Formats: sequence, structure tokens, C-alpha cells
Amino acid sequence: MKDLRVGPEFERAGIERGQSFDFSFEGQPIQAHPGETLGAALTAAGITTFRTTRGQGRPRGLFCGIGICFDCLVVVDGRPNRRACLTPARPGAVVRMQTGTAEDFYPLEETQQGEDGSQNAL
Amino acid sequence: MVMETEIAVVGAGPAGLAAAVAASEAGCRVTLVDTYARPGGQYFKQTPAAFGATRPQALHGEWAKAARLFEAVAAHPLVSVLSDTSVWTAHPNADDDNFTLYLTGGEDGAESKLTARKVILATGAYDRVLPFPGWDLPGVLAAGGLQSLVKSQRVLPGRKIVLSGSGPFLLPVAAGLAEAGANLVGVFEATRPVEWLRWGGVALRQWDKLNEGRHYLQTLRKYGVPVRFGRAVVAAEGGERLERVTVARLTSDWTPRPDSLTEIEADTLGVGYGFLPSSELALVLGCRQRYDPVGGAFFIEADVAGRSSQAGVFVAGELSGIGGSALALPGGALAGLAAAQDLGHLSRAEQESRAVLYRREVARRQPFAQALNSMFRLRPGWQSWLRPDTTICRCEEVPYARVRLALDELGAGDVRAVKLTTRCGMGLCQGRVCGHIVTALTAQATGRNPAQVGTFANRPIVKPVTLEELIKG
Repeated sequence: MKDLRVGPEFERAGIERGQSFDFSFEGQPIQAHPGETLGAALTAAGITTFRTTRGQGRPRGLFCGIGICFDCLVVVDGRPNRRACLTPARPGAVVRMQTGTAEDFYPLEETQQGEDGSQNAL
Repeated sequence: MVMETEIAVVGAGPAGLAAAVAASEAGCRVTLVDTYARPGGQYFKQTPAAFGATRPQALHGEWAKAARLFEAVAAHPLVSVLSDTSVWTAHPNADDDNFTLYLTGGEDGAESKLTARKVILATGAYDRVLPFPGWDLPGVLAAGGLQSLVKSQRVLPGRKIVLSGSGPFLLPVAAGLAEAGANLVGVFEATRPVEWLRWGGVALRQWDKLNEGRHYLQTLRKYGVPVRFGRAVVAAEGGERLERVTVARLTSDWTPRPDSLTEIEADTLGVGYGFLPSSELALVLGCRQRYDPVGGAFFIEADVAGRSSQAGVFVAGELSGIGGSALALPGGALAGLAAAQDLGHLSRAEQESRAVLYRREVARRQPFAQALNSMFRLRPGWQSWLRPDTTICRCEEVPYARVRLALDELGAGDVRAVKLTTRCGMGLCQGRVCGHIVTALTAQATGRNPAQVGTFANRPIVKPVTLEELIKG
């Protein structure tokens, strides 16, 4: 099916998107154009679930669309808590859904033991 | 890195642009800080530079005004623009009358500081969304976010779209969608035209704005988009994403009429019930706020020139009351001129002579803004849309039942108590989305007014920063 970008027959602003490139989302290639946000490129591809909540594992995606609500968080190249609505799509970026608090992506195993027995993340 | 300027303007929407232009033309050095890659804010939002739009005016009825401001800001030697940059906190300095703003560059950028003698805050507003069962499903978006996708990114949000809410903003969002080829199956406005008649006299004196509304309605008629009044989406259902919405006919207080519920298939819903001011930075800087019963929200106290209760801090645009660009443009200019006068770049007489036209424009537009806020004010019946499992705080996944427990059984008497007992407002959005909801529910339950039950306490860090930035700060 055709993607959700505004088609040329409706394009009144004389927009010509640059050469498309791919990034990956959950291992799938997603097409994007220069200037597009991750949120827009994923939306264009019909993807609406960007993360799951840490309490009930509920799906969430774009909500406020302008950086206020933090519902569209994704993991970009291993860095969690990126707002998909603001983050530009880049060629070759590896984007993952953020699950819960994205604890999988924090290197908590690399800890050092303090003298008092406390654990400190490096 | 520490930068230094005379006036820091935060936010490059209509108000911030107008403030920067007026202040620089009066001889002030201005640094304009903006979160986005290109100036314009939400109202004058541009397509990305890489899209190479040759006819940007086709996407905006007021493009000429925007283009003049973009040009003036770019060309003036006294203005420097910091794009892709957010202010994550700020404070008045202890040892002089200046201010320090802490900056973070985009998602990955470098940290720096900006000291300024005066601060003009033009941080704008964001959609006010009312909760209903299913509003947390993917595919349900704030109307402004939906518009931003279409107008700036030129992507349709879905294949079958419904808009619901209240206020003049729904119409341009709907028209923009229709003109972009979206399959918009219905626009539902909770108020009814007959309820607007009281303000008809004021509206008739704003012919340009009425004409704008008529133009949007004509566009929707041309594309066969049905617009229905006295109705709203009161529930949404779906699995992984939105699949259908329930539309109800509403009484005048927005309670659904019995037997009036109809289901509509849709994969996308845009919701907007007016706007809330982005007051975080103003509150961090110590500006006083007041509750406006008509706007149904807390706004920053300011005089006509934007002077807040905190000396040296001005607010412009939506922070002191929702009025759209018609008020933000002259209001921003007045703040710029007042700051220039306070810095000694304009004499009182020079300031007065430059300000007179802007003041007249504010006086002309203010009654209409107030009329719109009255016509589309929230009615309390929306609280009857909630079910025990309806999410109130999206970040912390707090259901309505838990809020009711706090209010009815645990005796929570104000917003702070509800927050402490339920975790509402403790999540990543810092209560921006659910704050107004918790205030309204608490006011209703306690029989006190919103000014008495208050808002969530303001946080000293208003934008996310890394620990590294905090340590260096």
C-alpha cells in the first residue's frame, strides 16, 4: 500500500523531498527523507506503536507531536528516551521500541562495588 | 561556553519573533533561543529546509507576516538566533540584576550558558486534551500534533481520521488535512453555534477572523467533510491502535445524551480543547501566575507590555492568556519595546510613540480573544465520560478509580495531595498533560475553585538533560 506522505497531486507547497534513505525500526528497514523526524517516517510507514509502558506494557506512540508529552520515546543507536517527534531520521540509524523504562539499554551490569558495599554504575 | 546578551528571547513563534524584531530595531542586542531547527513556533511552523518548499505560502494564510519576521530576524546584525536549542533552567543572578539561562542543544547537543540583562519568554502553548476511555491508544493524537505532522512533515497521520474537541483551532486543522488529501470522516465540535450568539456583537467587529472561519468551513464543504456541533468523541477503542470511536450528542454542559451514542470506524483521532500555556520557565524564574476562570487555566500575570511580577522578566504571547497570533504579534512587539526602554535604548517618549499602534491592536483584538475563550470554555460534563479504568495520568498509568479513591476516601483536598497519593503528574511530562485534569477533578470533588486547589508544583528542570549536563551546569 502507498505510504502516508502527502501525495504529489495534493502538494501545493512545491516540496521536493531529497533522496530517500533507510533506517531500521525493530530490525525492519524504514524509508525516510532528509528533514523528516523519526515520528513522521514511522507514521508514513503505518507504524503507530513506538514504545510500551512500564506498568502494564501498553502500546504508545505519537501523542502531542511537539515534544511535550514524552509518549513517543524510542531507543536510537542504543540511546533511550529519544522523542521520536523531534529526533531527525538519519541514514542507517538503529531504532528500537522502548520497553518500560528502557532498562535493557542501560549498562547496569558494569557496576563497581563501593567500600560500603554500595553499587555504583560506571 | 558562556554567552552574553542584552535580551534573551525564548521561543521563536509569533510573539518571540515580534519581540526580537522590535527590540533589535530599538538598538538592543538580542539572542533568540528556539527549540526547533527553523523559526516559526507552532503557528508559523515551517516545513524542513531539506524539503525545499518553493511555495510555503500555500500552507499558510498568513505567510507574508511570517516571512517578514523571519527576514527581519535573519538580517538584523543585532539579533543572533540559537536554533535547535532549549533552555532547561534559568535563574536571576545573585550578584547582579542579570539572568543566567542554561541551554541544551537539541537531542545530542552541547551545553552552554547565556547571561542576559532582560528575559522575554515567548514559550507558547500546547493542546489541552480532555481524557476519555481509550485516549491513550496509539492513533489518538493532540490536534496540534496532528497538524504539525501534516503541515510541517507533510505526512498524513492515518487512513481514516476523526477530529473532536472544542475551539476555533479544529477548523484549520481539518481544512489542512482535507487539502492534503486525508480521508477525514468527521469533525465534532462540542459547543453549538446557538450558544455563541451572546458574543456575536464582538465577533462581527473582527471581520477578518470571521472570514477566515468561513473559508475553512467552505474548504471542508468542498471536500465533503461533515462538521457536527454539540457532539464529541467520548470513547475510543482498539487493540494495538485505534479502531473506532464513540461519538455522543452532548447537553449544554457536555454530558452525553442518553441513546445518542454512535460508533465510527477510524484509525486516527485528533483531540483538542483549546490550549494551555507553556509556563514552566516563567515559574522557574519566579513569575506569579493567576487562575483565569474563562480560559480555565493558570496564566502568568503580566501588564499590557508583558512585564511579569519578576523584575526584568517579560512574557509575550500565550503565557498571559490564549489569544493566538492576533494578540501574540502586537504583544511580542510591546514586550520588546518595554525591555528596550528599561535598558535605556529608548526614551519613554520614543517607546510610547512606537508602542501606540501595537497597543491599539491589542485593545482591538483582546475582546475577541476573550469572546472565543468564553464561547469554547470547558463544560464540567466531560467528567462523566470517565470510567474507573480510564487513564488520567498517561506517564504513570494512573486510572480514574485511583484518583477517585484519593479524593473520596483518602480525603485529598488539593492537587498536591492527589499527586502524592496517586503519582499523577510525577512522570516524564511533569504533569503538562494531566495537570489541568487533576485540578478540575479535585476542584469538583472538594467544592473549591481551581485557584484554591492549585496546580502541580513546578520543577526546577523544565527540559530533559543528561546527568553530564547537570554536573557541568
